[in-house]
Amino acid sequence: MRISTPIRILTLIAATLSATPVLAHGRYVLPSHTLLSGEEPQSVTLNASITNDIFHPDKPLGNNGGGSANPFLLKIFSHVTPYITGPDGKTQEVIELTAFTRQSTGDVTLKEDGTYRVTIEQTPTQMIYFKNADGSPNRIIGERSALPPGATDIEAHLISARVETFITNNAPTPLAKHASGSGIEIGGTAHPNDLFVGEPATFQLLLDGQPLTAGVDAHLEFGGTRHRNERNTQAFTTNEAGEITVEFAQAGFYLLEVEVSAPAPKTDKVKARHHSLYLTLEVFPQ
Amino acid sequence: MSAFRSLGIGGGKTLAIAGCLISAMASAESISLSVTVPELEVDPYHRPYVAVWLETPQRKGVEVISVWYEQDEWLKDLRQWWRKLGRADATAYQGVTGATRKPGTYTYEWQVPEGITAGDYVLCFEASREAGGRDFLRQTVYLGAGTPQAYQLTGNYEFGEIAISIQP
Repeated sequence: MRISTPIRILTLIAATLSATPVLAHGRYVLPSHTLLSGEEPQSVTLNASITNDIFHPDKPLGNNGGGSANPFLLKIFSHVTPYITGPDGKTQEVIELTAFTRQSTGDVTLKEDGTYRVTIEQTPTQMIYFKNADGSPNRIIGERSALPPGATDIEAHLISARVETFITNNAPTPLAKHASGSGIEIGGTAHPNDLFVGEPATFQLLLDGQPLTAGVDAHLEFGGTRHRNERNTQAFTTNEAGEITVEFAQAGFYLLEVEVSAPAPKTDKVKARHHSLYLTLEVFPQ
Repeated sequence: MSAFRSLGIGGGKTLAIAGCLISAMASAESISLSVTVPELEVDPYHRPYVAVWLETPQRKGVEVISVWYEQDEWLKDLRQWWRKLGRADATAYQGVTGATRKPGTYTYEWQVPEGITAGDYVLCFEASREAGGRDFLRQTVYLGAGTPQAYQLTGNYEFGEIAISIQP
């Protein structure tokens, strides 16, 4: 699907609604390691959370590993698939994430040389905003049949997201191998496991496998927002090739967020489709 | 690759090698390096992993000169060396590795391989120590000049003095 109509940020649409969806919160998956060396297979621990404080967990994100969470989150998690894609870009393995109170945790083992892509994918999920019979705002996940009697101002949206990071064992694999052609993902000349302070990195942003158009906003935040007073969000806008060029001022973990909304085809029976990417990047010092 | 093997393995500090630098070929320069691993008053102390290599000014890795390490799992912590040369091909440095060294001054000689074209290059020195810090020093040199060059670098913490001497 090629989006040629004007593209807006999910949060703008969310702001026009009285109920802010949980899914507009920040999300991340934070790997214990992004670079590995050696001949033996190595494991990496992942922590994933739905939170507005970057890399400080608030709510779990995913549970297919025997944890527990409240019913609303479990309903979201039923649309969430955590998996790792191997260096060949094809082999996929499910990641078992266990939900704890504040985060979900799981291990992945890297046996081959090359770049692995970690994805916590939220497949298209219908979110319905409405007013209760008494006029108070509400929302449900799922179908219209679940709406309470007397609901008014009904507006359905289709939401999908990729929460991602990359891990490289020995030599890296070009990103192009990993393009899934679904949702928002990164391509381009920079490699997410070769990022260093002071070296500009150019990423191309793709939506459903096609480069995004010019003028799409992307946001970059350095981790540790909880421990500073300013969020210091860096804003980038794509050029004609759908590219952004990022330069990192300090070493550490960063979260790159891209959100794109587009009118849905009539067959979707929703007002709009929303795609988002939450990509964790690790940057090293010179 | 044995010609590139680091000298001083298991030997005493400061091996004198100045007498053996006469090269038959004018093109075959040799580079004498003296690297000091400093004494650090830290507990626990772990010996640093150290990599020395040659890059182009555009930061493309050219040749590994020496790598001191214990386990390949931690080679990634020699971050600049790892990305520029280490991770690409383990066979490229198999002949120039050695064990980590205790504090002291180590000298060794590197014969510039034939086939390296004359021009500017950057000698890179990186040290990374478990539970310690990291040091990354660089010196631009001209290879193929036909005249001697000497440089002195001072480490920030994980390196002490580094002396570079190029003999045509």
